[in-house]
Amino acid sequence: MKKAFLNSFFMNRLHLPALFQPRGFTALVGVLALFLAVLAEPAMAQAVAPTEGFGDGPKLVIALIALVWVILAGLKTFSASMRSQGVRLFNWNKVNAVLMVFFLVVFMLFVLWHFLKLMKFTLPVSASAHGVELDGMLSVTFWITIAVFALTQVLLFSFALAYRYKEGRKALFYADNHQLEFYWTVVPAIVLTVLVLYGTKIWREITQVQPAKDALKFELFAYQFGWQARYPGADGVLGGHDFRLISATNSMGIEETDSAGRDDLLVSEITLPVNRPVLMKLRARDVIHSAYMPHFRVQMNVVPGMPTQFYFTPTVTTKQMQEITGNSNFVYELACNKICGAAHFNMRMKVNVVTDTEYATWLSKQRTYFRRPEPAQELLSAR
Amino acid sequence: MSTLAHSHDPSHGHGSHAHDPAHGHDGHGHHKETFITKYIFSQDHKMIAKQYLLSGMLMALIAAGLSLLFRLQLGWPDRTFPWLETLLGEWGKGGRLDPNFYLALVTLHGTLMVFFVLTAGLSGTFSNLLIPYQVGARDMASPFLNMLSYWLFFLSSVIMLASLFVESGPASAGWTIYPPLSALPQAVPGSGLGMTLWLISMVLFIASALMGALNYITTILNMRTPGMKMTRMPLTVWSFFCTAILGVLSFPVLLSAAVLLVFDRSFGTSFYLSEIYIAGEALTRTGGSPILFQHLFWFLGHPEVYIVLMPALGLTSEIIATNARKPIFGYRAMVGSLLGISFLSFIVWGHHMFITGMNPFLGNVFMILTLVIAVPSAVKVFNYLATLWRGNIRFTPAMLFAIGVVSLFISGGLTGIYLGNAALDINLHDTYFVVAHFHIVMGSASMFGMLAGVYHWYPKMYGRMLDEKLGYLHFWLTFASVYLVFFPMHFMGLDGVPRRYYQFTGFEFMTEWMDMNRFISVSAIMATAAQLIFFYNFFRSIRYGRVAPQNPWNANTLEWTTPVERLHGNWPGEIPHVHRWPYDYSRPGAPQDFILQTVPDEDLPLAARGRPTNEALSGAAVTERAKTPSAQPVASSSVFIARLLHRIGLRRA
Amino acid sequence: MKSPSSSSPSGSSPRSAVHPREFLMWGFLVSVFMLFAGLTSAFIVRRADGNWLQFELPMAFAVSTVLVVISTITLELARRATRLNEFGSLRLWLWATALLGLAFLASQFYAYLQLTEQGIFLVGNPSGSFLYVISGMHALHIVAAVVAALVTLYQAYRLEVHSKNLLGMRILAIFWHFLTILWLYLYTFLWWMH
Repeated sequence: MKKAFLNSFFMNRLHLPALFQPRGFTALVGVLALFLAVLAEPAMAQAVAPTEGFGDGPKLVIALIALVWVILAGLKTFSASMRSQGVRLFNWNKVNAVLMVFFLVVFMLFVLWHFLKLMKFTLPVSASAHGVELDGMLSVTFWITIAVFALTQVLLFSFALAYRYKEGRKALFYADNHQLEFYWTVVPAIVLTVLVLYGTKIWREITQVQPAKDALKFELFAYQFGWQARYPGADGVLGGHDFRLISATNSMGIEETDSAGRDDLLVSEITLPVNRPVLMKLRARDVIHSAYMPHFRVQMNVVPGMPTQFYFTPTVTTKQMQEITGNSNFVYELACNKICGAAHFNMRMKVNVVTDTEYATWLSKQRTYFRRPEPAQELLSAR
Repeated sequence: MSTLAHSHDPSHGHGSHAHDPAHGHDGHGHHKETFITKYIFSQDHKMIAKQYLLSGMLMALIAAGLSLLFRLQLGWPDRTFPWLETLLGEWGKGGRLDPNFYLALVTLHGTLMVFFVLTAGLSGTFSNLLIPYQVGARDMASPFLNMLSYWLFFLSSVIMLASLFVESGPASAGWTIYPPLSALPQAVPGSGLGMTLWLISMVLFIASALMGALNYITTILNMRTPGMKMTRMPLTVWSFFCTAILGVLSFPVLLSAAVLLVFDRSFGTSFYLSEIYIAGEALTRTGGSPILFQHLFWFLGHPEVYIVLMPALGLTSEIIATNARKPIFGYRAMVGSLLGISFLSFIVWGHHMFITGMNPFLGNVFMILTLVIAVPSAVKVFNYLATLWRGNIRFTPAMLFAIGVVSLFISGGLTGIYLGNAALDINLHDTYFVVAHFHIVMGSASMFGMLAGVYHWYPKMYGRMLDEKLGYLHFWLTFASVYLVFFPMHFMGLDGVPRRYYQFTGFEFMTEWMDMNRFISVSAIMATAAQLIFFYNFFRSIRYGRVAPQNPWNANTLEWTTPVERLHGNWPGEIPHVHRWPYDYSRPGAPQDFILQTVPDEDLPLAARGRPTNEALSGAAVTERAKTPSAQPVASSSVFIARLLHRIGLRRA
Repeated sequence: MKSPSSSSPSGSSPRSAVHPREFLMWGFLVSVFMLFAGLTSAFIVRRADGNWLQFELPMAFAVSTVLVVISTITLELARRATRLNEFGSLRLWLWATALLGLAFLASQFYAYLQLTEQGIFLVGNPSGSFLYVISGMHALHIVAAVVAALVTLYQAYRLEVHSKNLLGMRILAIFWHFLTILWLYLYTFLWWMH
């Protein structure tokens, strides 16, 4: 039966040299596959493990192309000579049908490889309270979509093989089935409704919740190409601003006459006390930027002329995250995530999440936005 | 044989060398054609289709080339390439890509691909080629407007490509060109002359697209041959119809967004600008709203992606049915889902704007509507699967690409469920997850649809067949490459790697992706190289391809009843009348496994006449059988499933 | 713009009573409508954001309205004349329509002058900018309509417009009347919202 299966690749059983007999051909294909696998694995591995320079990439590609070329050229010459003898070599339809299933297998393995090898490179556990909910939602969405993905791709490619053209077979004239249509409309609708309700709930909890009265307010100011951050001083209120006041000595355009602003602090790194809600106010100087802190599951566009904000609670200190990730150099980072010009890729600010006492210490060391000769001692008691 | 020698100038519509210049009894007996009226300022829909196709192919090559340049930067950020400086001059100084130019490349790549390749090149080609043929008309409602539409598109392309050579650089604010970045030359140099040229080019493009769309709608509604009821139109025509309606309704809003942007850029208004301090000065513009632009842009932007996708789905429906030798499953549901997708596409635009700072309540609304639009899309996928089931599938290159469309549509569509969820979008917006999503579901699925269409209708365009084996090779290399390039990007996005980044060296958490980027770039090079096989096949077969028979695929639709040599006016005599729908493949009782739409019932054996009914398993057939003495019980879903399992051999009777 | 396929659509009875070229005009008007829908939506959204300067609409706009309504009437009179093959009247009324269109444009321009006297410029508060842009886009379409009217006039002089060839006049009328209605809508909209 196996022989028949293999022979069905060929239109005519021929007296061929051993290499081109079904068994030989299978062996050839097997060797080729082995060769590819042996070459491919280090290439894939190389893709995720740091190496120097170009690696073996170009050589690999050239070797591959050369190999395929040789095989194809050989086959073409051979099939041309066969055709001139009136013999068709390959049942291309069957070749393609088998390739469909072969592709499916490789594809599923490829997808699996991603999940096995690459998941560890994606974000660690959420560093914020709402992020835990988000990750849960992501997980649910993932399992639903991967199930649908697997089912539909398997059906697609196996139908391609199973129902390949056979001489004398007649396709089934099956134009409609209202019941089936009904089910596969309603079932996805129900599943998606569940996802939507879940999603709107979480979205509301994140964006449509009143910030707590004692939330830590700070302002993030985006410009081409960096960030500036300002904390309220002892009064807990951020001073007013006007873009027309922006100058070399007043880069954020804070109103000096506003008493609320006189004690505001300019910080070089965002530092947040753990487990305290934060209301991050956002302003941009020139074009649209976006404050993106993926570890906290936080993102909000920063728009000139339209202040925005994001409310969240950090729950994992930097030190804790270093332990969790096993990377002692881990730091939280703020990136710009809306195209804003040449150095869009280089707008970075460090974010630290620390304990309350560390936060108080840090805060006391911060200078005020408007430079004053004496250190801001009174801020030691500020919250 | 034509003795005219044409240079291979793809941007001028020149036909095939095998094109017979003599026109037969075309029913008009009018104008004598010169080289200019036949090949350049042609008013014939078939020639215009080829003009669009060749222009689209050229633009695709250019856009792919642009992507290779920036993939070079992303894959090898630490290397210098001296030839870059030779090629790009100032923009490639020191063998490294200039960061401003990187953004320009990304912008032009997106613009060219979305508009010039996948709207004009896909819709323009196949709507023009197939609508008159498949509805039974001699040409479009206004051939003159049709010609104008192509030449406006040509002019638009020239201007857009010219912007690549401008000293201050092409537009660099992303294909979405949000102000203030796109309004202020001080923000990025490309927002100077480059952006002005972009806007002029797009205004012309919009005019061209509108002319085309109006023509398509008019032809479909007004010029169908007798017997061609709307419910007998092939799904290709339905998809072009819906696409054209979307275009007519949404492109003008892009025009309004562009008009206001032009005023902001050149006349000092403040529609989109407010409270900006840039290049050392506080601008006097106040009172504008950048979000306004985003609303207006995405009001087009979202229907635009369906304008790109629906023709591909229409072509796929036709190609799968023809090559599986089965009717498309659920014709009415397919039409309904096209209409549903069209309607819904207008009310979901906000899902591109979840984190723009717009009112979060709107986020709820757009999230709900976006997940609703997933339903008709799912229905289409299931219908494709059911069409393949128990078919007798011929793997022509067109069929391979059509199956590829379904696979890519599934993969890309499912990731849309993540992004349509506003909460999940918080961490995924503007990351590589989005890049992966739209490249798979819109870019690749539509590109595959376009290629499937070219392979399937090449005999109709050029009277020759494309080489199949090169087609197989082209398909498998491209299909594999597409997944190799874009699948890993999902994970980069899940890790929070932003898009439109020149390099990833600035951030600790992004550096681990450097080597994956190299892998992606290599795969992208392979993907582009594979297209060269197609180009070779395409141009070689114009002259040396096997001469095509009149109906090489044994298909039912009207275009296959026209002569191979292609006449002005399409049919040599009267236009045939239509007597049936286009999906009578493997009809029980019929002498062949296909029945042309022009065949009346009288010409068929008794068993094959009448309304199409399923051989088995339709509700009606089951109830019918229930009336006979040896009755099966009346169909219930469990019986239905039982019989289904029996049919596919998973259960004994 | 003669083409065989439009004069003999597929050699069979047309699918609807609407001639393809007329249908094209209706489709075009849908696009134009969407353009103004986009602009007026933008207007509404921006106005809701505050910082919106209020001002009186210039008198000249009222004059424009009267002019464009009269032009619609004269165009209808021209069409009636065509049906009755009264070529003299036809040409007269068509000239009147075209000239009234030009007068409309002149009154729009004068309205802009009146606005600048009030201190409302294109550059400045968006409420002014929108007014200029929206009325300007409409005026651009009137320019196209005037050109179309002149082309029809030219055809009328060549005696190509008559009771057996009413299509051109009909299409012109659809376009012209649409622009009149559009102006009435825009004027009312701007007046209500200013």
